[in-house]
Amino acid sequence: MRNLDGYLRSARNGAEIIKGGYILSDNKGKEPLLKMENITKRFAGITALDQVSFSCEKGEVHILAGENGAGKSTILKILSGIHQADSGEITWKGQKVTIKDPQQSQKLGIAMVYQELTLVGEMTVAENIFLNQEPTKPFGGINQKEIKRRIQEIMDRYGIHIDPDVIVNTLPVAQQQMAEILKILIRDPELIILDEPTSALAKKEVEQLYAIVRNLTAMGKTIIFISHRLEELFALGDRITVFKDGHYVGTRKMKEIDEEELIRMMVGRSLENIFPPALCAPEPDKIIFEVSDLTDSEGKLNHISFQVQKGEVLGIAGLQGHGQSELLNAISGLYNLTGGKVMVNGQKVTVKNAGQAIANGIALVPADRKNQGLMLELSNRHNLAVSSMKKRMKGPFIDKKAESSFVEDMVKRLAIKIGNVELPVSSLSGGNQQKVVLGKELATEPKVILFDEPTRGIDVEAKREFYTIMHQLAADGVAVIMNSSDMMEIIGMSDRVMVMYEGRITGILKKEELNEELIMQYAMGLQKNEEEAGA
Amino acid sequence: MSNRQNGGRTVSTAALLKQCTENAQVMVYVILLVLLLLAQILSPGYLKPSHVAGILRLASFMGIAAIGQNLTILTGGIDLSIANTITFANIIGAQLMMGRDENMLKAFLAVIVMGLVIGTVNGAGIRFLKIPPFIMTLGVGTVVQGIFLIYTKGAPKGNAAPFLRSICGQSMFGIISGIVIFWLIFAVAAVIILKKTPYGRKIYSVGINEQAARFSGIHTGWMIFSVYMLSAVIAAIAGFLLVGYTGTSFLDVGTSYNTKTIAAVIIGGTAISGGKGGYLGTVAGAVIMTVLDDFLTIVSIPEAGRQIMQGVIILMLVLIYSREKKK
Repeated sequence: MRNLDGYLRSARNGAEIIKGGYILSDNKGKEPLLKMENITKRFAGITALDQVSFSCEKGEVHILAGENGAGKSTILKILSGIHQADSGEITWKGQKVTIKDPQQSQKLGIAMVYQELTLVGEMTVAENIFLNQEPTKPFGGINQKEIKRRIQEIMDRYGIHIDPDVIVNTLPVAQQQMAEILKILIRDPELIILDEPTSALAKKEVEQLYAIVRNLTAMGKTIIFISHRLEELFALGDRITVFKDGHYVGTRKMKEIDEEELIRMMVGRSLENIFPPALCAPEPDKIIFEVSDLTDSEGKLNHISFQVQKGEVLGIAGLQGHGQSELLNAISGLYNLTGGKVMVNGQKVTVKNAGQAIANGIALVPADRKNQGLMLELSNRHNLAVSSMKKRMKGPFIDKKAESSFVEDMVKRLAIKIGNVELPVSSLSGGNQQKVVLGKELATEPKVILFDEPTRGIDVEAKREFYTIMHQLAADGVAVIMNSSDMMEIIGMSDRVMVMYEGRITGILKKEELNEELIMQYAMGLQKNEEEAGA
Repeated sequence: MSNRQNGGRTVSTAALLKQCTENAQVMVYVILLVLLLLAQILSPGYLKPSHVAGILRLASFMGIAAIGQNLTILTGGIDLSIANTITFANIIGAQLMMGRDENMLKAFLAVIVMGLVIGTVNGAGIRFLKIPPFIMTLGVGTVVQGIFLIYTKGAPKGNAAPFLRSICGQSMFGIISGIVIFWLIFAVAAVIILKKTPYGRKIYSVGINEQAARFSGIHTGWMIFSVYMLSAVIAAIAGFLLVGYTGTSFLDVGTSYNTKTIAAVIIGGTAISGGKGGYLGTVAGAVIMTVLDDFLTIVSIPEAGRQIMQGVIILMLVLIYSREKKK
């Protein structure tokens, strides 16, 4: 249905009719737009891609799926000219090509929207879009009218709504992403790669993105889409290709596959097993962590009080930006409080900075692993060891031997897929990077561990490993607190859920009463559980 | 079997070669070697021990002052007050010593205090007032210059104590000057601190990603404060030692040290953006800078020509390094 619809829409545009023929003919016997065959790529001893193949038909949304480290990013980086394949062949519109650099990839008509946004924050949307390719007037001035006209044209064509004269920094992330897509569309590419475009978006924004993607394919553009959200794959995809551990697993039509089979292809396990069972029951009369009356000067935290019982995982839910991250940061000494107290095992502790929090047994796995969690260009060793160096000293010096065995143990304990501990942590896949962040925090031997969006952008397998570790920590008597915007995760993992709205706790829900709607009611401030919430 | 062994050897040589070209810290020594051989070919006798000892002696002052520069650059900053700190230390040192050994300790302590004061001002401005290091240290350097111009009224007095002169003289230990031994001790300490202590690790952490460093429990404010403190104190020590070399003090004795120390650090393979590199390369960087100057003098290229060539060579090296990084 979608293809036919697409055809009809593109038929309005005369030039598209011929191209549209690809869509109608169901691609039989036609040369695909892109064909990558037997691609192999190695990095420092790790084979990231082993003889994988991948092809795209014109006008389709092709989902690329697989756990982190499956090789999705690598093949896309080869396609966009950032890496070169060690062996294998790329065919573009029936022509064999070698893509040597990003410029060449662009020239072919391939464009990639990266996970990290690449806009200049201090400039307006329009300035960013035409950066370096400004249309000029006869005497060399920038032709602002032409810029406006072309942006408007593209926005109308694809149904994007954004004010081009706004400074990028002042826009929410979702809008910035739209600007990023707009910037690519101005080059009129044929193949657009979206690498986890929804990982930072709220539900409504995701819908907008879907609409844009559909408009794009209707105009004959081809989309490669990477995502870890299952519902998204089914909502958007025409076909899906699954990679696992650098190997090609298979390609299916989205209509002919269900969730169960998809998950089996990705991890060889069915859906029910994503959330492992808890390893112990919470002990309500043993309070191991407690905060009371936490308040800041900006109104992001209003008299927050809660307790964590021994053996439980406490979930924090809420819509984005209602103080959840500020709360976790404040407890970890990274956000200034104006009042309140923090108690670990009944002892009041001061948390003026992160060093002090760590010394008092409070560790944080932050939400933004690239900017807050890791020093990407430094080694795995450095990153794993940096928060706990004092534990492995020989006089005034770092005990290299003890450190090596510590690193080795941690890599084993968390099953981190690492080529060489001396390589920069940026060489790892997202899930493994996140494990390094966790390893760094676990090394401090915390009594309280705070997870802020711990599984954002990591694959099912790594998620499961994270969940198992959380349960293990809870069973070991560590207070585990998890903030997540993933409702499934909150419900699947938490023993109790604390819901935040406008910097307040609107309710604390027990495991038995957890369901998505109830949580949403509290998250939108429609319900309040006064007695539990205290304030 | 022999085949496999051969294969193994090729791989390891290739790996070694790859390491050399990829690691700027190693490459700078290759460049130094080539430069020295070139000098020896063009001017036979260049590598005779006494001349090499002379080069090392000259390089020592730059090398010592570059330790502080190296620390600030590793944290992602820069110290542009080093030049005037060196000059002021030189002036105070000479004036308080008055050519007498018994005044040396007093002069040294005064110089250290001066360094501490300058370092505190730099560190406080950068840490608490959040002034960019480039601006802060440039400003403080200019203020220091103003102060020593007032202090000396344009005519610095005093001269080096004989003992200090002997340390910095031609040959304290055989043909090696005492100052070279000093530098060696400083260098070993700097390398060990950077490589083997938590303090060193924290410097790299702050330089590569200050936010992640803070999230990892590092007191980033204190780290930044402390490197400017160290840089100023080390520059003060270098300025004091320099009295032993120059004998008396003059107003532009330290002027060239901002560019010299930055050049030594960058040539030595430390990334100007911070977080990468180390002092080992800077040692070679300081020697390269000295050899360039010295050799170009020997082949009688005038001062202006020397400066142009030095500038070009620095740019070339930076270009080579940045190309390496892109791969």
